[in-house]
Amino acid sequence: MKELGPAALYRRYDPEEFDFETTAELEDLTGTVGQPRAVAAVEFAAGIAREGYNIFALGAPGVGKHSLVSHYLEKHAETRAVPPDVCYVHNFEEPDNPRLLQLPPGRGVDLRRDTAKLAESLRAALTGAFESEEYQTRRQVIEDEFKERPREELKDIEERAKQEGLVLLRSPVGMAFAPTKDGEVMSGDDFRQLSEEEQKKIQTKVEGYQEEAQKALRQMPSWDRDRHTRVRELDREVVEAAVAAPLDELRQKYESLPGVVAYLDAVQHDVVERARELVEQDGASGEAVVAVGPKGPDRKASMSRYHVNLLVDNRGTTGAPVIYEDNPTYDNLIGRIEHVAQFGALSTDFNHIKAGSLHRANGGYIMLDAHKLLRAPYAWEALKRALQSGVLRIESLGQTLSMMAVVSLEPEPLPLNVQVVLLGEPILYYLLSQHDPDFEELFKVASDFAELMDATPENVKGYVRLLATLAREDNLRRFDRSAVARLLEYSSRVVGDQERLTARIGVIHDLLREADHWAGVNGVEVVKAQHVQQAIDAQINRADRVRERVHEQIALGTIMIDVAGAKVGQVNGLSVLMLGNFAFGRPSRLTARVRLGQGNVVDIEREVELGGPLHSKGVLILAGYLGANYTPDQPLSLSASIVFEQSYSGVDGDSASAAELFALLSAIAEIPLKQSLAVTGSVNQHGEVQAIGGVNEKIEGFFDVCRAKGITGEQGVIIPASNIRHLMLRHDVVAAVSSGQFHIYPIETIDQGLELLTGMPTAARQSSGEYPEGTFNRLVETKLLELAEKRRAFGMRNGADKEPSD
Amino acid sequence: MRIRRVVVAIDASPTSLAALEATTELAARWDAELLGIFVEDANLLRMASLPFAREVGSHSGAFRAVDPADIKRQFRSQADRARSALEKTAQRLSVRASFEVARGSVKDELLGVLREGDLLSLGKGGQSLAARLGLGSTARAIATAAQGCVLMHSHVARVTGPVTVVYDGHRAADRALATAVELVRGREARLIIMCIAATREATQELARTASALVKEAGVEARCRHLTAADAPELVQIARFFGTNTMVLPANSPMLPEQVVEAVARDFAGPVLVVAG
Repeated sequence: MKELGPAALYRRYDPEEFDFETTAELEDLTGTVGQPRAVAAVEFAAGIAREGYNIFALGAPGVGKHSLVSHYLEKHAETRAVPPDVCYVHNFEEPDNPRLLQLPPGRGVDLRRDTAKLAESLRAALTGAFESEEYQTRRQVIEDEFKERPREELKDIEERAKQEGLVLLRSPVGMAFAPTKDGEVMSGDDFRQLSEEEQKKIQTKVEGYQEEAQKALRQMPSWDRDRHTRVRELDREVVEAAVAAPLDELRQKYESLPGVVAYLDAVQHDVVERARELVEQDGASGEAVVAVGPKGPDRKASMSRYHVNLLVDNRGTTGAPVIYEDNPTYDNLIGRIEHVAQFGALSTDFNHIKAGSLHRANGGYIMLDAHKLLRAPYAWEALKRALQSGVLRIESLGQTLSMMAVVSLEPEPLPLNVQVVLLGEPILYYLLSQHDPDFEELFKVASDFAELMDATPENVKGYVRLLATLAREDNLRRFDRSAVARLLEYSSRVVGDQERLTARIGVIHDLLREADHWAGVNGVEVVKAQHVQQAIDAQINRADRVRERVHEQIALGTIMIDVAGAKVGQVNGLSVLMLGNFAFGRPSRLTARVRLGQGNVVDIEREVELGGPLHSKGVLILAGYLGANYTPDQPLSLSASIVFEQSYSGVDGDSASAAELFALLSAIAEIPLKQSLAVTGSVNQHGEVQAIGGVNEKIEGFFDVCRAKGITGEQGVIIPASNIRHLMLRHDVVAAVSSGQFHIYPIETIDQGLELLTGMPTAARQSSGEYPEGTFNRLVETKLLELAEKRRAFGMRNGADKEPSD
Repeated sequence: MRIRRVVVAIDASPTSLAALEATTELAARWDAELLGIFVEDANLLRMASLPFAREVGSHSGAFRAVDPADIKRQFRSQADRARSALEKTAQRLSVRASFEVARGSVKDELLGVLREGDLLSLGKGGQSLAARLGLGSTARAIATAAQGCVLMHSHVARVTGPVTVVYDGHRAADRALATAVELVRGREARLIIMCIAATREATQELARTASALVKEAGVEARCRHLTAADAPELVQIARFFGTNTMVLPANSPMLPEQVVEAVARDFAGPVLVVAG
């Protein structure tokens, strides 16, 4: 079997092929590289811009979802109109439902400034109006007129009573009439001395006047009402005249905006109606005090009710907004209504409405991390509700859940026209698709980011420019072309494919920064391949404590691995251990034993529940291969057991199935297998060897063990031929292969592997239906036929109807 | 003019209590003694002894039968409250104070306790004592009879800000001016002098005299010239200058009783009537 030469083990990028010296010469990458499918999806969705065409950008972390999506959205946003400014103003009829005003971009800030000024000038105008000579005098006239009325009424009664010898007395709580004698009130004794007739006469007179006084007093409330009405009319007249000028000026300025004009009309009406509340007049001193603070618990009107709360200010904005909300909580998304504590109670008004990121993104795009969104309580529900209803309604969470009992507002909802982009890992996309019935309706476009890309010349060129861009953005040193070549090789190694590069730019980005660091440590200005290598080595060094321990145990013989000699029923399998982001290969001894039986192959790993389903599947496939290939006409009359020796944790995957088959066949044929070779690959029922994952780590793992136990020049690894393109081996392994110290054998069939491991020919069945003499397969076949014969004999001995028991 | 004693007529009404506070402050400012007096109106007692006695509630207009025992109880309760309010206020402002209860005609009883140089403080407006007795006439009569001054106040009782004084050159007016000076001195407040005389020339002469008097005292003053005393005009001018206190001479030939009456009624702040 032909072994692989060093060139096949590693895809080398030749620095000489690059048309630049360092990355400083390269232009920034505009656009992206290697994600045509994802880009097409984003462009499609941004172009179609219809309800429900929101995007879920799915891909592994670090594939550049965020930067790609924002790049394309920004491109689209440039061509779209700037959305309007969003304001909330007081609703004078329904104070709990603040009104929404949408204004052309930039006018919002004007209106806010103008209304603040207006509030100031209204304050001055009202104070001036109420303090004016005209108002004071007219008011005084009304007050005097009504003050005189009861006095006049009573004075008249008092005068008439006096004529008839009665006096009006005022007590602290009321008034009374009494007859007089010598200018003094008549005493009870004097009164009784009068004749009965006189007494009667006086009493009747007194009672008459008392009733008159009562009548006069009972009219007082209606006089008071009249007075109140007259004062209100006066107030209205004076205030209307005072506030007309500043409001007219504003109406003229905003005449092209009917919403604003209507609002200003409402302001005027309200000022006139509430002038008294706004100006708390101290009647005695004539000092006018204007209420300016936030309204108290009695919700007295204050000047702040005429302010404008500008939620979204699009002044100076070009194109539609592209917003990334990095903390997509309920409040941060849909906005909130803040409360202020006043006199121990919580109160609020439209000035306390705060915008959410959906407000800012309205008319454009918003990007959210799906994972963060789903983790924030009720945020996902709120987003869906907003997208489904097409309006953005600010409700506090307490209100939504009916849990809070403070005074709150229900602002007029904002019509929502926003395209949402969720960024997340594929698993989230699939889970949402499966479990949330609304999801597919709302997120019709999936932008699927590949984890790897083809290393076509065009992609490589883009990739290199991307590296240059990242280096520049991070203010890193220049990378020379040898460093770039090494970075590309590393990128291929990350995906384990000579023909591809990783799209998880994050990984490469980290390496860029680390290589820059090492260049700095070495005191050079240009990052070279050696610095990239230093960064890679340091990364491995930081992570490989466990690998070292494992290899040390193998070297010490604690974990038994033979790397020389030959053994029956024993082969070196290869497995990969993942610790965090670090993977390494570890050889494992696989053994097989056979005896007479009824054709079952026992997978010890499965029996003790250490083997996963894929492993079990591999074992069952090899039993199928065994029977069909060697004893198609006879029952398989053996019982075999297969085990991963010294494995104390779970094993899964079928990449050891070829190795297991070799061990089993060796055990049947009793032909020893070379321990200098390790095997990886899975097998199908036809004996074809199939590709497996982690080929580089597996080869390197065995190489490291061989080196520790002593390189003999015989050692090597058998791999599936279909894995050749995945080889991106470490330089020391490639060097060992170059010097003939180590060997990599690609195989396509089990027979090829057997020849390598046993040194015996295998050959196919002859036309006679038998395997040729002297081949390994012939030995296996003979052995199996012997076992079948033995089983038959065993069965005859124990009765024809009885099966041999184990 | 030196005020030696401040007599305050108190019932327990809110105006009266506000006046007590302001009057006690004045007493403290002048280092004068304070006498609180509560007069049980004999007329009310007599009225209550009539067999058909009843009163009409001033707000409700409802009839209530009264008898002398009722009235006495009302008097007692009012007097207690008045005494306690006086003691508290006097203690707080460190003023020597005493309290008396008298029974009889209010005017007579007040005149009975007043000595020369006293200031009598009364509430005005509404159901206050001064209003019940007739504002202008009472104030003038009491002030004249006692050769002192009468301070009438509504709910705005405190003497603050500029002070307006009416000056016609007569003896009472000189004393009124001197009292007004006392009211502004040390407060950096302005004095507005309304000079009233029959002719323009005469008012100018008055203004010169008044300015000279005031200058001695080191008080800043402005003069206004009037050829007749008209109550609304007086009130309006006082208001224009933002004054809260008005000082009027009693028994001045230029200031008839009805003018004093009208000013006392219509001016919102305290009105002080000074006898010549």
